Amino acid sequence: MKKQNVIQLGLRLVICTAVLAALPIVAEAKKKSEAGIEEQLKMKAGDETGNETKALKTELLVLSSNKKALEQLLKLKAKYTDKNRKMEAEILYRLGEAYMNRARNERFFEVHKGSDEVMSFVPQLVKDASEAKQIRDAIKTYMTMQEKFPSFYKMDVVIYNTAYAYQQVGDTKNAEVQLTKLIKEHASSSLVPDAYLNVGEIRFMSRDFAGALTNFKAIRRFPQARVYPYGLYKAAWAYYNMQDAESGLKQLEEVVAFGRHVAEAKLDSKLDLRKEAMGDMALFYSDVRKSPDAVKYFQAQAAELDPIPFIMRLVELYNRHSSYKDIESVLKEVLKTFPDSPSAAQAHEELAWNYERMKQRTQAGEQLVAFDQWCEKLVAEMPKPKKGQAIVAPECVSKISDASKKLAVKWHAIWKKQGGPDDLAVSSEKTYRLYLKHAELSDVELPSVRFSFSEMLFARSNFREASDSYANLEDYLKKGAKLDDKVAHDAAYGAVYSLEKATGDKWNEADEKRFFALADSYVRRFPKGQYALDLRFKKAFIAYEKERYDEAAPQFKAIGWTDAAVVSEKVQKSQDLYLDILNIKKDFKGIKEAAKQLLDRKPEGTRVTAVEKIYREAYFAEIQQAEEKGDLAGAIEAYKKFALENTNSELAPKAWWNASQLQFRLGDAQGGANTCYQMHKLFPKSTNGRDCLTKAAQTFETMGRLELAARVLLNLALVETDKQDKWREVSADFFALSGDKDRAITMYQKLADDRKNKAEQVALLDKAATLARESGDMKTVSLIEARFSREGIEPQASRMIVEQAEQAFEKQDFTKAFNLSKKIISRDGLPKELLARARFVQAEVLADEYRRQSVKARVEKVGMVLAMKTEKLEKAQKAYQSAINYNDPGMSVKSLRRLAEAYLDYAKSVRAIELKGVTEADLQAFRGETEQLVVPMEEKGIEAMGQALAAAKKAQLRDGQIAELQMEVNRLNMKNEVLPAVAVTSPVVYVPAVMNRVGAVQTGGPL
Amino acid sequence: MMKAITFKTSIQKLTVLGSSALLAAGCATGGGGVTSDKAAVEKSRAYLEGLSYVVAGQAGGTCAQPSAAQKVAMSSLEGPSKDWKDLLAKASACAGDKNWKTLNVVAETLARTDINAPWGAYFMSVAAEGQGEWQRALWMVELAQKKAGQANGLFMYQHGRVMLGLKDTTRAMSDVQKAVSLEPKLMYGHLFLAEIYHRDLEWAPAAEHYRAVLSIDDKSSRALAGLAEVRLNQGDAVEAAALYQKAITWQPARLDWWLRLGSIYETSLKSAEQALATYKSLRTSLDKGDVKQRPSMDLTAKIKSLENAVSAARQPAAVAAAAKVAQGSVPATVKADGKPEQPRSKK
Repeated sequence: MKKQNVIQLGLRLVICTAVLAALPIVAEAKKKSEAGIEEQLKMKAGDETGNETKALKTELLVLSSNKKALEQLLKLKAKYTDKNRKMEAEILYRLGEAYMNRARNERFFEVHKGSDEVMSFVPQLVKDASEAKQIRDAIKTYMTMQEKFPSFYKMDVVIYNTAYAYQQVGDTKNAEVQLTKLIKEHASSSLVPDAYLNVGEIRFMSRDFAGALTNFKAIRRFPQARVYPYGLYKAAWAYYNMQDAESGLKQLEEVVAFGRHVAEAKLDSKLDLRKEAMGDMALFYSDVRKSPDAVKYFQAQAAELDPIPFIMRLVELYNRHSSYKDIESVLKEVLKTFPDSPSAAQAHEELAWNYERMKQRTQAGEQLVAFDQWCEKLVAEMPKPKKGQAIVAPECVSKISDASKKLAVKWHAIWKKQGGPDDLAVSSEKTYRLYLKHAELSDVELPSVRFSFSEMLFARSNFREASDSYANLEDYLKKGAKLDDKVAHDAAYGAVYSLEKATGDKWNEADEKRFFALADSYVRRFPKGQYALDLRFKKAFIAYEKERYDEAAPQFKAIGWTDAAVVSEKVQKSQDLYLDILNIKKDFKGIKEAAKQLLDRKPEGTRVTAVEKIYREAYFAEIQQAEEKGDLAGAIEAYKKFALENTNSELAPKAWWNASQLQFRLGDAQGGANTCYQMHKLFPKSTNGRDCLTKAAQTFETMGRLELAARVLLNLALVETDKQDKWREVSADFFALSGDKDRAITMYQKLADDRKNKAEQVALLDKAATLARESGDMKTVSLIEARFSREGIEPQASRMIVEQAEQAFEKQDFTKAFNLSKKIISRDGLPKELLARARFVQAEVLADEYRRQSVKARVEKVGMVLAMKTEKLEKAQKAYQSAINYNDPGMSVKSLRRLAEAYLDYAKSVRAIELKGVTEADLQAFRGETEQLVVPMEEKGIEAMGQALAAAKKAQLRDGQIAELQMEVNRLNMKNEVLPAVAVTSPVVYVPAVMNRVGAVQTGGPL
Repeated sequence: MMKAITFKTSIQKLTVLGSSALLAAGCATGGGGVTSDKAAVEKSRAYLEGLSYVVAGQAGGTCAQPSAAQKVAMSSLEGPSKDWKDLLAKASACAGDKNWKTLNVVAETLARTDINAPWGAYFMSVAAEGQGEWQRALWMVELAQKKAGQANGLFMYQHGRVMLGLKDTTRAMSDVQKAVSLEPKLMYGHLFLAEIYHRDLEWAPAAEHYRAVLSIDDKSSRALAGLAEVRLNQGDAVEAAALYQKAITWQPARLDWWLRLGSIYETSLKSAEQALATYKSLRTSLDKGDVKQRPSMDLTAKIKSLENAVSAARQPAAVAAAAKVAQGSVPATVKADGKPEQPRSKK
């Protein structure tokens, strides 16, 4: 292939020279062109568009020139064809070259069909471009010459060019025909070796390696030919392709030997193909020889040349075949054999990489270290640069840097992915250090590698160095390095975070200072960075933990309140800690205000609850402070305000309670009691509610404000449910005592309905009835009495019957009175007073019957009448006696008195009997007999009256009866003594009067 | 001023309200019993010292509403408030005026400002009683008693008055009896007891209490007349006559006393002369208009009859003694203990 190119190059040079020589006009035109045109057409590196334009301009100039040349030649051809054979042949020869030149023009445009630049300038030229057409015209011209002028003096060249033209259009068959024709018909031509070479190439390309070898070998006959070494070289390849690498290797050894000869003889260096041959030798060697001999082999072949590049070529081939052991063997031998060779750098590096490929990473790392030591030695031995001269680092430095960078990063990645082993991390870290030792800011990857190294240190818990390493990235940035934004950010944070880890959150002065600097740097550079808030928080937190509250507080405030919209636990923590600092300082007002600000921002649910709690506690504590300072009035007002503003707070009832207690303490007993009364309404579930209500009730009661106490007790009954019956009854009592009798009556009745205990029920109904009677509410009285009767409640039911009997007697309905009383007397278990009253009614009825019994009668019936009268008296007497026997003092006295009156009446009635139609003597006799009846009865009457008096005295009846009875007894005993009536005076009201200093009463006015 | 109490119906057993309230140590129990409470005694001491008890209306002062400042004043916890005496004077004046509504307002104010003082409750009792609210009056006076911390004569007296209003005379007597034993200068307590005992023919206790009244006010004509009747029933007509004589001195318009004195002289002491002198003095008083009521008897005939008797009668020993009384040779007054006392000159 190379040979073909060399030939092509040769042909082009020949043709161009010919064309230029044949076209003096063109050359002249070029000379006459504007001054400096060559300068204008010079390519400039990096200016792709400009260079393309310049190439187009050049090509257009050449095209123009070629076209003109072709036109001239065609004109000459027309002029001399068949007219001057010598000229015709020469013109055709030149015309063939001209077509080939045009073909190259066309090729330019065909190649640039995809160029917008070229298309925009010469679209038609590009569109019409056809290299093949020009070549075919050239072939046609050359073939015409071969036919028409077979003896042309340059026919070998014409045939060779024809072959070349055929090759250009891919017609290798005709090309080979032409070349064979040349070999056969022009054996002495200097172009014969080239023709062999081309035929060999054609066969080689068609994989006819044997055919190719034959032609390549034919060149050996021409050792002076330029293509001689190339023929040897190609023959080696033919062998190789024929699977005979050993023969091929020998062919290459010949090429090397010939090259050495060329060099020694100082011949054309182009003929020295040693480098190419030795390069290919590595391939052939790898096929047929063993690696341990390689260094010596190549050392021998290279002779004065540096063998290492060729050995490295072999290494490369081994690598392709994954023959890592061979590589290791070869490279070790290289380093052993050529320890001081500058080229050993490549071996050092490759050996490291080979270990890497073998996954022997520890060795790889060690090899890099060895490489570095080798390189350091090399650097040390380098001559010092003169003043003003730049220091040029040897290649080994960049190789170490490059390899260590790649390997460190790779191993780091594997270590991270696999989570071990640790020796890999160790190797990675060492290798990172190698890289960083040599790396310069010009290496754009330096920041990212530094970052990875920092990450490695962090991962391996070398936090302090990690922190410094991360921080280095900011230094790089300051020195102009370009940093990926994310890396810059993460490094800045990594520096801070690593330091934090290094300290274990135990901050000495130096570490704290460093932390603050790093944190400040982060926050300054990335004010909205992911960790800006965290770092600001941490700074404040360190100060907080060291109890530097004045320093921490404003920082927490800034985070917690200014950045409150940010969703972060740090914001919330800042709020909490700021509030905590205020709490430590007992600045409850500050806490309250700060918490209020937070609440005004309407935080989410659970936070609201927490902040509200703080707000309220602070609010509460602030009031307590005021209280402790003695501002009781202010505290009362504030407690109440707090309670009303925060009714759903658990502190609200406490505040209300405190307000009440302060009022009591301050002397506002009524106010305190009112507050307690309201407490139940405002905070019915308060634990202090019962105590407060009790206190309120006590206070109102103590002040005699029973109407207020009654209301409080109703609430207390709701709170103290186990005593609710008691409190309701007392409440009803208090309402009654306060004049609200209707309410009390209703309450008593309701309480009675709720009571199960009969005695209690009756007692309540009694109270209701008593109040109703006092109020004139007879309807209620009737209802209650009806209930007593209906339910047989005693003694109330019986008392009602007795009262009915008494009323009936008053109305002289004696039968009803008697019968009603009879009902009572038969009952057991009634009070004596009731039984006595009932029996007394009966006695009175019987006494009435007795009195109604007339004693007026005729003589013969007097006895019977008296007997009837006496019998009725006896009945009445028996009834009175029965009433007396119940031993109720009042009723006994009354019965005795009435009985005495009955006896006396009997005596009086009998004594007053008038007998008509009888003689005086009979009358006297009658009087005498009746006296015997009357006198004892009178005596019994007086005796009974005396008994009544004695009983009244004994019972100390303080209703005036004693005096009345005494008067009656006196009258009956014929004592004329008159006892003046004594009017008892009700005791008058006494009031207190303040005595002055001399013991006199002060009267009125402020004292 | 003084009402006669009539007892037409039997005394109904009292239903005591609020008796279950045991809310505070100083509160009313409703039972009327007095238990000692040292703390209450200490708290109320300053309110009870330096006071005298006078009949309502005799304390002076003006019944008036509490001032605006008094209405809103705090309770004094450490001792008497600066206004308590003023409020006390206003309350006393209102009680004298029977201005129960204003009295209650003042009493409530006093109960609030001087929460440890018994006076607010006491005056609320008085106001309630004045308005016929007996149960309330009872409860309030018991509260006052509790605040006093120990038995107090005035409050016991008020309790008795309320019990009387509730027609429990027996309990009223018991209370007043205790009251006067604690506070002997409660003259009307003694008078009440004396009259009850007198009416019920219990001469000794009646005399005792009449004498107690007279020891306080020797011009109490009711006590003098009452004691005279008691002494007469006890058989001491001489003292009875002397007492009536003194009663008439202080209250000469009482015709019945003139007649009673004359009767004692004439009947019990058989002194026609003294009887005659008495009737003649009566006739003079009638003539002067000092006695308005006209006697139902024929006074002139009586005098003439006695003149005749005097002129014809001999001088028995008892009559001589009576004559000495009339001449001033025996004591005209008797002390509470029954011992004679020399008359004092009128001031």
